Amino acid sequence: MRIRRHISPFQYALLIAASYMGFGIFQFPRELVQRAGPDALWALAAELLWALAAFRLWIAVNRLHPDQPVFGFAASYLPRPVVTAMVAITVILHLGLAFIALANFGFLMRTYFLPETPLFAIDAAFVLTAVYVAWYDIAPLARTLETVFLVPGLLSIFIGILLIGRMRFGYALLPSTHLWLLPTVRATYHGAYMFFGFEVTMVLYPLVRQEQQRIAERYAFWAMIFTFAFFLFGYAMVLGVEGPFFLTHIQWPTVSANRLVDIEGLFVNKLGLLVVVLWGLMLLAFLTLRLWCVIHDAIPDYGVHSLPRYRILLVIAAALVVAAALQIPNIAPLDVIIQRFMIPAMLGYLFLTPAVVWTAAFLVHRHRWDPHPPTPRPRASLGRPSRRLL
Amino acid sequence: MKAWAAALVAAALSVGLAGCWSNRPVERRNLALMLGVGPAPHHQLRLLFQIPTRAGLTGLTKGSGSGSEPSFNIIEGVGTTLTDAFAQAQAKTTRDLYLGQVEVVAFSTKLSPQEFEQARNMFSRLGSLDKTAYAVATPSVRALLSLQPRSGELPGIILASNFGCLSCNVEHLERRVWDMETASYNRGINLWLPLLTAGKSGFEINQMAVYADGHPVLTLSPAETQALGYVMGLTHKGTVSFRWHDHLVALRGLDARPYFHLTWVQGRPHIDVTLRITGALAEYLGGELTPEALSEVQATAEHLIARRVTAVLRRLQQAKVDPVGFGQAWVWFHPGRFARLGSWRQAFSQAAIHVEVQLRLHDIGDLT
Repeated sequence: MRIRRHISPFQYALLIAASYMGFGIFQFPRELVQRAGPDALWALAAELLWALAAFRLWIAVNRLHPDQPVFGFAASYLPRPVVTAMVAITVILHLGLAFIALANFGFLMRTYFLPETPLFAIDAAFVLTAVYVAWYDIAPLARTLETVFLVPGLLSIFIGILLIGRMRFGYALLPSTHLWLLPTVRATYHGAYMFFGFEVTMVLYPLVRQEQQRIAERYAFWAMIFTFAFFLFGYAMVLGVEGPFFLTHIQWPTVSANRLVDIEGLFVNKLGLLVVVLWGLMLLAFLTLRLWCVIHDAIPDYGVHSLPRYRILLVIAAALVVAAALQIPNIAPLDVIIQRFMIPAMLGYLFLTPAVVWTAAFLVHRHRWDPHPPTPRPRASLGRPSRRLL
Repeated sequence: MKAWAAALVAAALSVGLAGCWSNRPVERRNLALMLGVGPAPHHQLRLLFQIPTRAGLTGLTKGSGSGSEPSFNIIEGVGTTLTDAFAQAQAKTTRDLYLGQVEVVAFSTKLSPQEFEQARNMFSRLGSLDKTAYAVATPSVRALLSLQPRSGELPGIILASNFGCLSCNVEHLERRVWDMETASYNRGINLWLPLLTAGKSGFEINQMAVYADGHPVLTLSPAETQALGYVMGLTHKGTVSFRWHDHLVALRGLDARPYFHLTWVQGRPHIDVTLRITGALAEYLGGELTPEALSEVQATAEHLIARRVTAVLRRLQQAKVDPVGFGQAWVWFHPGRFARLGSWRQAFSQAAIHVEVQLRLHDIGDLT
């Protein structure tokens, strides 16, 4: 079985966007409005700024050795136990993000669509689909995303336009002229989950052909800005329709707003709900990427290179994700897990990991980076034919 | 292998996500079209479901009633909470009570604030209840849900088409369950619901009930509702009749665009309301309609409408309720000052309100 080695710059950007969009789309912008009040718009802008900054850090680390995943070359600069610990943390965070996203969507589906279907059936169906997509490695996922993102994206914008007629709180869309710094920073922190996940670049970047990597970076940054524009549009619609005070009481503000779109006479009159279901595809992409990354992050350090082993690990990771998701009884503890544990852990990870690797590399070489550094010794697994993974 | 994997995924999806697990044939469900919440003796709550009969549904598809057979049944449950009441009602029928098709949710005006909050809270949590169902207030839930319109059509469908039609009424008093939720939580605005009564000839929908803390503290008359409708952008077919130089004049099709501006003067809100109204001259018996005469007619009407609007706003101030939401933006953008103020309702009751009406008659008919 031949595994496709490369992804195009466009696919790279899509995969990066998919790595964070499936997580925050359902809950945002509750925390921003709850904590920043009228400054929520500035907090939303701050989300983009930190995400761009952290992503730029990761790109800087990727550029150190553009042909290798980060944990493939990190051992050249850091002690092996440190790299092992980093890999372990990465795997735990991937699994953590995956199970939180899965549990969240499972609760949403049970609340609005499938009240009598057991949670395990909903969660298992999702994860099984994610395993199926990830089964043949990255290429099917990249191709799927090319079509998956377009339809829900365009339909979401259409639904947003239909929601304009239901806006009763348009005043809340105006940007505040008084900036209260502390509440805005707090809101940015608590709403940071919107962009969690782009660290997948550590394994995706080397899959882009070297001559195309700069283009891929540009695309990924633009994808981030487009995602922000998409979130901004969603923010305006949700805030205008729900009002700032009610919004903070809703579990899934974007879903609640979508429920209001009802087109009489259309064969799917609840078009807004259809879009929510289609957002499940974004979650699917998110899950698939996480499962794929769990193994690919682990590979450079543990030497699991063959496809059958990859698949065994894939199934184990998927089972762990479902098992963890089923341990959460309802959405209330999940919120606590996100706010108390996932946000500090992810923010620390997203900034510290690239900072540590980059600083270590800098200290080893004692000078700023040559844009074209010498390629380190090739890994045994690279360049092997067909049944080998990167 | 690939085919097997695809089949496995397809099977999992059909069971897990396609809804097959909880699928019920429609004939095994009781589809409630209207839902009513009212008080019951001993501090209990009454929940009424209006379920269309087979004859009612058949009549619906034919577009007419089906003779002597009733088009709907009422199922009722009573309990300390609405959940208990729901369970009692469910025990009275062998079919699953299904809320996904509810068109109208009626709240009794006799519900205590706590009971009203109970109902609102439960309906907000119910994922299966459609948030776009119409919400109404009524003095008697039982009378409203029991009314069989002469046309034989299902009451829920009649009401839904009435509310869904922007140009069918003088005031468009459409409120959804969703609007009720947002108005209950958002600050600087009071909840209002259309007050529905069951008359001999059918439903009467021309009054507004304004709520404060879960209780209807003010019921506006049809004329007051129309006047307030100008300020809230709800009145689209307003009328006004008056005497001008001993001649009768009537205007119709009055449609207002409201604008308001809030300022604070010495700790007291000042609200300037401007209404840009367009309409048509319906009756005029004052001789030749010169531009000067028309201008005077317009000025008289402006004065009259401004007086009526001011009067209804004064009533709102006396009752300390603001269904328009004059203070919403201020409350949102000045959280610190709002915290010191404590209550927008109190401030609104002391506000200085100035109403200006700018009327333009676009249509004077084919007579000079």
